[in-house]
Amino acid sequence: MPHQQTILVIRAQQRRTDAFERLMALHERPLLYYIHRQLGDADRAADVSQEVWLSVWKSIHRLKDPRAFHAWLYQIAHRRMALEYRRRQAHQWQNEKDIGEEDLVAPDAPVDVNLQVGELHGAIDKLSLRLREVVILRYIAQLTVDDIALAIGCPAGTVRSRLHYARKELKRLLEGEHDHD
Amino acid sequence: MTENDAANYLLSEDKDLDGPLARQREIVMRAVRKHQVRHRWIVRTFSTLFWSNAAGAYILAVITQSETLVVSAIFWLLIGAIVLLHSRLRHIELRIDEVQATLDGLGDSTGSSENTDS
Repeated sequence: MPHQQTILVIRAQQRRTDAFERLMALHERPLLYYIHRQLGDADRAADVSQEVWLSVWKSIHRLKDPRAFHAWLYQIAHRRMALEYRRRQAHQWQNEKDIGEEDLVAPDAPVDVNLQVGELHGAIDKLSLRLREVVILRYIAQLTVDDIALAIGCPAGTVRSRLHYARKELKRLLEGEHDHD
Repeated sequence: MTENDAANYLLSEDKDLDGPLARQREIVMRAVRKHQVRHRWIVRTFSTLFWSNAAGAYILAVITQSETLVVSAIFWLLIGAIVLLHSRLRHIELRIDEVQATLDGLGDSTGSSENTDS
């Protein structure tokens, strides 16, 4: 995380609202995107996002390492959404089977961005919850694999595996759309 | 186009976010300021309570010459001091972290400019 952001986190820990507001300005868009895509409900996503930010403000003084803010923020969002799913009794969240660790490729290989943006958003929406989550955290929120592992509470190998399958699935979906054209 | 540019482009193209984002920061910041005021009020109230308890017990101890009240005054004095010290120490610790992070940032920018010069 850049030093400027680390300083903002430390200032927010000192209960400075101006620093918190700037921090929020930096992260609110990718965070809302993540919550919105995961919940699929714009109004509920806005409510959950607000609750996450309030929770961040109330507990930021307890964050030991300010450089871990990014992962910590998404950890709070992930937990908050798990609660939301439990509330909705969405069984797919618990029942989706985990993907194996085999057949891994580097998740950091460049992504072809020469696509229609709408198609890409649509393809992301078609991914399963777990795959969608890692794709958004890695490529939209720009978290590292280790940070994603910390945020969603699973081993880094599992994150790499999910990213691999998500990229494969995205490729299949996008090529499928182009074939239809 | 870097990965970062691609992410920013994707995010800026998602127009569904514009409406909620416009309202969100205002709502959150209002709640944050409210929480801040309440938090300060609680800290001040408790701190005043501890100090006034200590002062009250001490005055009563002097008047009544009671040793129990002296102990009570010392007890409240200690509690007040611990609370004050705890919040001050945390504040100092965070100020040191802030200076350290600023120095790290300066060190990095000096290092990168030296690299560019060479």
